[in-house]
Order: sequence, then C-alpha cells, then structure tokens
Amino acid sequence: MVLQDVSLNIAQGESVALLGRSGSGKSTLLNIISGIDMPDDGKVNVGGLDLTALNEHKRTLFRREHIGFIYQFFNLVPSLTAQENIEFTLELNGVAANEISARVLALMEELDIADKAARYPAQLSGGEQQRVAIARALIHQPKLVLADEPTGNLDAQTGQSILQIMHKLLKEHHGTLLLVTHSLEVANSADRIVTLDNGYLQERDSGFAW
Amino acid sequence: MASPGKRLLNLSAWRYARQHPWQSWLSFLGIVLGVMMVVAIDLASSSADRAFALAVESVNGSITHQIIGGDDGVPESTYTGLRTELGLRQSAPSITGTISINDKEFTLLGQDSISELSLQRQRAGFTSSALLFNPALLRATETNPVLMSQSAAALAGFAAGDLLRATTGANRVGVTPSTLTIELATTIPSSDPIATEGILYTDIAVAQNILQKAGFIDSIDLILDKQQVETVEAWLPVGLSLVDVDIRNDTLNQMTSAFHVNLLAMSLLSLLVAALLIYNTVTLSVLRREKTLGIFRAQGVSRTQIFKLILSEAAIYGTLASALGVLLGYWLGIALLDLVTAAIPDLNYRLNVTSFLVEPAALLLGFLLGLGITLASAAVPAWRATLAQPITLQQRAAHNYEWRHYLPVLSYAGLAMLILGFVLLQSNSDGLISGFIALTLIIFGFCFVVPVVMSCTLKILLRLFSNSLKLPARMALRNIHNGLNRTGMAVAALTVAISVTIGVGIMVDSFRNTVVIWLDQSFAGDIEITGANLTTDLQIKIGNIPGISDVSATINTSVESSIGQVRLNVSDYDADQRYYLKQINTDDLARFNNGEGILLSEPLAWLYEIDIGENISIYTDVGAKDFRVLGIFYDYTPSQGMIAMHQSLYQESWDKLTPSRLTLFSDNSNPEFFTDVEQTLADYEQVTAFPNQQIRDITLNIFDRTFAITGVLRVLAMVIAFIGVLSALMALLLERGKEFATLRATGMTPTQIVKLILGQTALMGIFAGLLSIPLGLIMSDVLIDVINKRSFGWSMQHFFPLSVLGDALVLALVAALLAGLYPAFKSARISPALALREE
Repeated sequence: MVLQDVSLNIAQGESVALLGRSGSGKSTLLNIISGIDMPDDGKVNVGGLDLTALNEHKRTLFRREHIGFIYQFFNLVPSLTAQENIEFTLELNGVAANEISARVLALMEELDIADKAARYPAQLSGGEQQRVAIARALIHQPKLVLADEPTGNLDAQTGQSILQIMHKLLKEHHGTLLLVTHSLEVANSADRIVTLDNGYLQERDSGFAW
Repeated sequence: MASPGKRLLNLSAWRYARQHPWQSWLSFLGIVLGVMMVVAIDLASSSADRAFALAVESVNGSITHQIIGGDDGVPESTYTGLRTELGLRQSAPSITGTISINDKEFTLLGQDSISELSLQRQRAGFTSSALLFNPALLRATETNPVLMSQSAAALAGFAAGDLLRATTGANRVGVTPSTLTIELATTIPSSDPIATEGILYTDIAVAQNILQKAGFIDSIDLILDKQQVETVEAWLPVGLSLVDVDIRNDTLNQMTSAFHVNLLAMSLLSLLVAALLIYNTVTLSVLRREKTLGIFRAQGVSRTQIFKLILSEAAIYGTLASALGVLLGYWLGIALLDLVTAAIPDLNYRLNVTSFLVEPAALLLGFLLGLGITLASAAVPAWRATLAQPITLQQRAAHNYEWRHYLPVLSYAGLAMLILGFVLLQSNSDGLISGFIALTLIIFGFCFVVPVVMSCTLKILLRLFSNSLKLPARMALRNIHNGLNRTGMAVAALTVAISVTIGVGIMVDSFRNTVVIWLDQSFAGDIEITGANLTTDLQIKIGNIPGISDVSATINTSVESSIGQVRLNVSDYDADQRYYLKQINTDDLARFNNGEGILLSEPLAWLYEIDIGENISIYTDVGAKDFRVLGIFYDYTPSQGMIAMHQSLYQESWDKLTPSRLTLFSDNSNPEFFTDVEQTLADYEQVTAFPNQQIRDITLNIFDRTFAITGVLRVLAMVIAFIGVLSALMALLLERGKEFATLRATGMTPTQIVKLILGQTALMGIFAGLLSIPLGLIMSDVLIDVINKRSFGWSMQHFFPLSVLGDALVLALVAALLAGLYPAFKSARISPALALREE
C-alpha cells in the first residue's frame, strides 16, 4: 500500500509542495486527486466532491473542468502547435471560439511565448515547452493545478525561471497548486511543504531539511 | 451539438496522418485494391450475364424448342422431313457460328426468310420485318452478303458496302481455318444496340458457305405445343435431340452464375486480406499515438471522443479509398470482361461484350463493403484506443506486452471458428452459401490462431537454439515475438493471400488434370468420325484401312425416362475403357459390360439424387423398361448429364442401330493413317473425320481461357498481402528506431542492421509460407468438394503437386523479403544521435 489515510487541505490560491523520495507515491497521489487513478480502498474527496462515487466518464469531466496538469516531460500534443495545445483545453470546456483565441494569446504574451504560437512542440526548447504546458494547465482557470516535477527536465536556470512564472501566474489567477518534487529547493518555492513518506503525509516547516 | 474539442482533435489526427504518409497511403491502397477487385468482378460478371441473356434472345428469339445434333449439327434433310412428314410449319433452320474479322470475333447468324415467316420469330433488337426478306440478303450469294445493325457496324468501324476478310473455323474440331471475303451489304436500325452488338445476319445458305457447314444446320428452331413435342420426339432420327430452350438456357445460366459466385468469393477473400491490412494499420496508428491519446485523456477527453476520433479517421480513409476503388474497379471490370465472358460455357454464343453494364447497385455495394470492412476492421483498435491510460499512468514497458493477455482469447476464438467452420462443412456439404460461410470461418479462425502458433514456435526455437544461435539471430526471433501484435497480423495477411494462391491453384490443377483424364477416357481413340450416315459398308471399309487396329461405334441419342428426357450414350466398349469411372465395383463393372445395367454421369446422379442400385425407367422401342444403375462416371460436358449403356443391352430394346460416331484406334504402323481415312470418307456425304488430339487441345484451350481470370485474382490478392507485410514491417521497424539507433551507437554497422531486419522478415515469410500450406489445402478441399460440386455438379480428383509446397515458401519468402527491403535500408540509415536525442 503506497498511500494510507492521506488527507490534505489546501486553501484557494495556496501553493503546496509535496516532497518525497522516488517511489514514495507522490505521482500516485496526484493521479488519485485528479481522478485518473482510483485507490484500492477508501474515498477520495476533492473540493467536497467524492471522486470514488463518480464513474469514469464523470471523473473525466471533473478533470477537464477543474484540474490543470503540468508534467516533467511537458507532454504536449506533438501534432498541435503551441497555441493549439493551449486552445485545446478551452475547446474541450466548450468556450466560445471567438473568446478562445483572445484568451490564449493574452496568456502566451504573459508567458512571453506569443511569438512561438505557430510552432510545434518539437520546434520549441524545453523551457518554452514547459511554458506552453503551464499555459495549457492554467488557461481554463482550474480549481487545482497539479505539477509533477515541472522543472525535473530543465536546467537549473530555466527551472528557476519556470517556477517563478508558474507561481506568478497562479497568484494572479488565484490558482491553487499542488507541486510534486523531490527537490527541496523547488519545494521551498511553495507556500507550504508536506512530505510523503511510507504512505503518510506530514506537514513540514519551511526550514525543513530533507 | 458538436463534441467539445473536436476541431483540434481532428486537426491533431490529420497532422498525424500527414506526418506518417507511408502508413496512411498503404492503408488507403489496401482498401482501394480490395474494393476494386470486388467491384470489377461484380460488374464484369453482371455485364457478361446480361450479354449472355441478350445473345440467347438475339439468336433464339421467341422459340420454345430446338432440334440439335451431334458434332456436325443437324442434316438439312431432317428439316425437310420435319416439314413434309410431320407438317410442322412453325419451324426454321438456324446456323450460328463465330467468325473473326480484323482479329475481333463476331457471331454469324444464318436464317431462312421463308421459314422465319412461318415462325414469326421476334429477335431482340429488331422488328421481324427488318430482317425478313431484306433485299440485301436476297442477292446472289457469291459476295457472301451480310447485314448488321447500324450501331453494331458503327462500333466495329464498318460501313455498308465494305468488303471484309473473315476467318472461320478457328475453334472448330475437324475444320481447317480459312479466310474469305464477305460483304456488309447494308445496315439497319436497331431498337436495342446492346442486343445486336457483334452479330452479323445473313441467309442460311451464305452462312453454310462462310462457316463451312455445307449440308448441315446447327439447329431446327421450333414453336411446339405439348402434343407436338411428343410427336417430334417419336419421329426424331438417331443422333438428334429435341431440347426445351428454357431448360437449356436455365442450366447454362445456373452454371454461369455459379462460376461468377466463385469469382466474387475470391474477390471477397482479397477484401479480407485488405481488412487485415486496415486492422494492422489502424492498430499501429493507435499504438504510435498512445502517448498523445494519454495526454488527451489526462486533459479530460472522454473515451467516447477517442473512439469517435479513431473511427472517423478510418471512415475518411474508407470513404475516399472505397470511392477510388469503385472507380478503378469500373475500369478493371472492363478489362476483365473478356476473361469473365470466356467462362460462359457454351460455344454457340460468342459474346462480343463491349458494352459494359454499369449497375449503380454494384457500385454502391462495393463502396459500402469497402467502408463497412474498414470501419469493422478499425473498430477493435478504436476500442483499444479508448483504453489508453492518461499519460501519467502510462508505462511504456507494460504496453508492448499487453497484447499477450489477449493471445489466449484470440486463440480460443480462432479455434472455435475453425471448429464451427469444419462442423458446417460436414453438416451440409451441398450448400453453396454454407460452404462459403464455412470457408470464411475457417480463414478467420486460422488468422486468429496464427499469432499463437508463431508465439509457441518462437518460444520453442529460442529455447532449443538459444545457445547455438548468434545474437542477431536471437534478436530477430525475439523482435518478431515481442512485436507479435503487428507481425502476427502481417503474417496472417500473407498466409491468407498465399493460401488463396495455393487453394485456387490446386483446385484449377485438379480440375484440369481431371479433365485431361476424362478426355483421354472419353476420346480414347485416335480419330473420331461423325455424321448421319455411318453405314455398315462404311464401317467395313474403314476397318480395312491399313494401320487401324480397332473400330468402336457409339450411338448418341436422347430418350424419355422416369427423370425426363436424357442423353443416352451407347458404346460397344467396356466401361473402364470408354468412361472415366467414379464409382463402381468389379462385379457391377462386369455386369455393365455384359449388358445388365447402366451407368449415370455424375451431374445426372447428383441432380436427381440417384444412387447405385436404384432403377431408372426408360421408354424403349419395346415399351418402358427398368434399368439398374451400376455405377457413376465423370462427365464435364455442359449439360445436365447422360446415361451410358453397353451396346449389347441397347440392342435388346431399340431397333435403331446406326451409330452416330465411330472411334478409330491406330496401331501406329501407318503414318498416313489420317489421310487414308479422309480419302475413304470422300465418297460419303455428310461424314467428317477429325483427330481426337484436336478435341483435347480445343477443350483444354477453352478450359484455360475459362480459368484465366483466377490467375488475375491471385496476383491481386498477393499484391494486397505484400502491401500488408510492408505496412507491418515499416511500423515495426520505425517503432524500433531507437533500438536500432542504440545498436548503431554500440557499434553495429548499417549492413548488419539490414541483415538483422531481412533475417527477421525472411522468418516471417517462412512462417507465412508454412502456415499457408494447411490453409491452402483446406481451401482447395472446400473449393473442390463443396463449391464446384454445388456449382456444376462436377467433382474432381484431388491433385496435390509437391511443387506447391516449394512455391508457397518461395512466394512468401520473396514477398516478405521484398517488403522488408525498404524498411531495412531506412532503418540502417537512422542517425544514432538523432534517434537517441528524443526521449
């Protein structure tokens, strides 16, 4: 059993870093929170909604509307341009076509990737790809953004820049973040730190040493 | 309301297709070829059937019966006797033959205007007055005047007044081909251009001259009521038969349709091979996009949306490819028409089918079949795509082996289909449709079992030779095994295609060999003499010619029996020397030779379900008598069958003993044997001699022409299978790009990579070749024992040339190696740095 009696309260607009060693169940926890995976036993309550009571289709709709994902390996759709990757989330949520373009371009401006709008993921650097991924995760203003090692595949400088942008945007949009990392440095960028060890969550101080 | 996100989902799919054009094109091509074959065969068969019906109507018109004769036809004197002795006015002589002008064949129809007036025959495409007493036909016959419909003349490029060089007798036994001039005296308008296409009309005397049938006519066409039928039958001279035109044409139609069903079944098999190709391609496209689909899923794209996405991609391919397939099928159909027409089993009607009949229903059916099979083939991979895990759950290593969970299910399903197929074959061996269903089940079942057989074999090979095999060889084995979800289908597709080649090849070879044996038995002697006046005096003279060791007499007549009117063949030879016996025991053989019973031809016994030991009542000159059936013999003449009787038995009940055929046997001592016979016959009118070898050659020529189309279909099936293997190999090898790059990075040369891949494809080819042999044998068994038996009432000997084994292996190996060449060289050129850069 990877996770046991896990309960985590995150306030709206707060960012929480989930720190843990490899194989500790960090990613599994993200999957369960987003409704992608289900626990063997027990219940999953996210924002007052019992995900275990929902069928697969409803969990998909929940994820579509309320969750934004940022991955270590970006996971952009290779056959869509940067702009289209971001637009896709809005299209899925049924946003009017005339509104989509304006919102996406504005966010891309904010992320300083507007000039890369027509490029495909393979034509972007790692940092640029991750900016697109951040935009994609935030564009529909989800209740919760889940970031799984968002800087794990970037050099230190780019990683730092990405973290700053991510936090800045989340603050602006009052987004809530659960950031999974095994780096204490990255974890320290969040408002709070919790560790996952042997299946149990534990609140840590900001001066916590791993 | 449109599904949310649909636009970008579709855009993503479209760009994927553009980024992997080879894969899209191969899949597209597979569907196009499959649909093309079905449509072409369907249209060509429909056109041939319609042309056949029109030809029959054009030539026969509105008659009810025909008197027909032996090889030479009906003596003119019979027609005179019919009118004078029986007073039958509604009768007309007719001659039909094939002539060749400018290398194109035409039907020449000879008629007698005065007799036609009494018959009031309505020929398709003309009013009766247009043909009767046409001044052009009443002219002197030196110039051989003929007439044509205006449309037919325009199509052939002829104009009224043209003098044409015509060749006759090219395909007739006992006739030396000759060329003479005919005059297209006039052209007349026709109400149905298709019905009159390729037909030349002339006076009967002119037709006799052109076709070298002096003194003979082909048939006496009659309009008879029931009572008149009995009168004519009683009056009919020996060697002539009265046939009901409707029954005769029904039989021919039935046989023709059955042959066309056979062809259509073959084209459907090609579509099945195409279905395997589509399945493989769509599966591959799903697997290659698993990560993308996982991203979609993580973002909230529902399973239904994924399913619709994959299926709509297939629908687009299916629609475009089926439309193109229909178009190409139309053109191929025109090209195949001649081959299909060749299969119509009657030499009286030379079909000039240049008018291609386009049936919208056939086009639509081909289109829907293509689209339906595409969607059905894509449904499983589309469903598989809905199972794509959101990206965060994807573990690449697990995917590659996930298919193994399905192997047992697949093999059980395959086994169940095979068992069901065999049970169906056993339970209703006479049903044509059930025969096809059984064959389809067996083929599908076999395809499902192929990956399991490959898996087990590869495991055994790896276990047995893991120490002795070099690393590349082990890698090749493991690569095939690990990629069985793709290699398995590719091998299955190639297996089906090669088994079609084997199955149809064995069927045609068996049929041909059986016909050769039958010809040797039925035309055992060296020379045949036919005619209406084979007197005893003539027989004695012939018997005295030096070099003749024996003369055998045969009477061909038709008799009324408890199963209707049937042909009766009477011979003074022992049954085992005269007939190709299918079923008879030694005692019964002796009884037949002693005149104690009769033999039935196989189609007759099959048609009326008569078994050995039963009795048939035949109306003889001394009243109805029961004859015991002692055995069955093979017969491949296009008729409903015949009864064989020894002359000693015939003499007991019939008075007419004049033979209609003499068979001469040579002792090879006289090289001028045939010339001597012809010189002797010069004193006798209406008697013809011809060497038996000529009959055999012409028959086999017709046979080869009939089955020529199966060769075309076999080649097309192989092309589709080749595309299937190429597609699967490309997929497999591109998927392993990183693996090959790693091998290159660790020191493997491009040549070694090529060898590794070609070794792998060769092994796949060997699998397909070996597996196709049992499936091909099953297919040939079903074709021989069920489908042809049901279609024609003909059964045949099974001939299994050992070369088939070698041919299958070589064909599969060559196809697989050719398909592997491009992917091998492409993989060898992979830049290790580039391939390893990406995750």
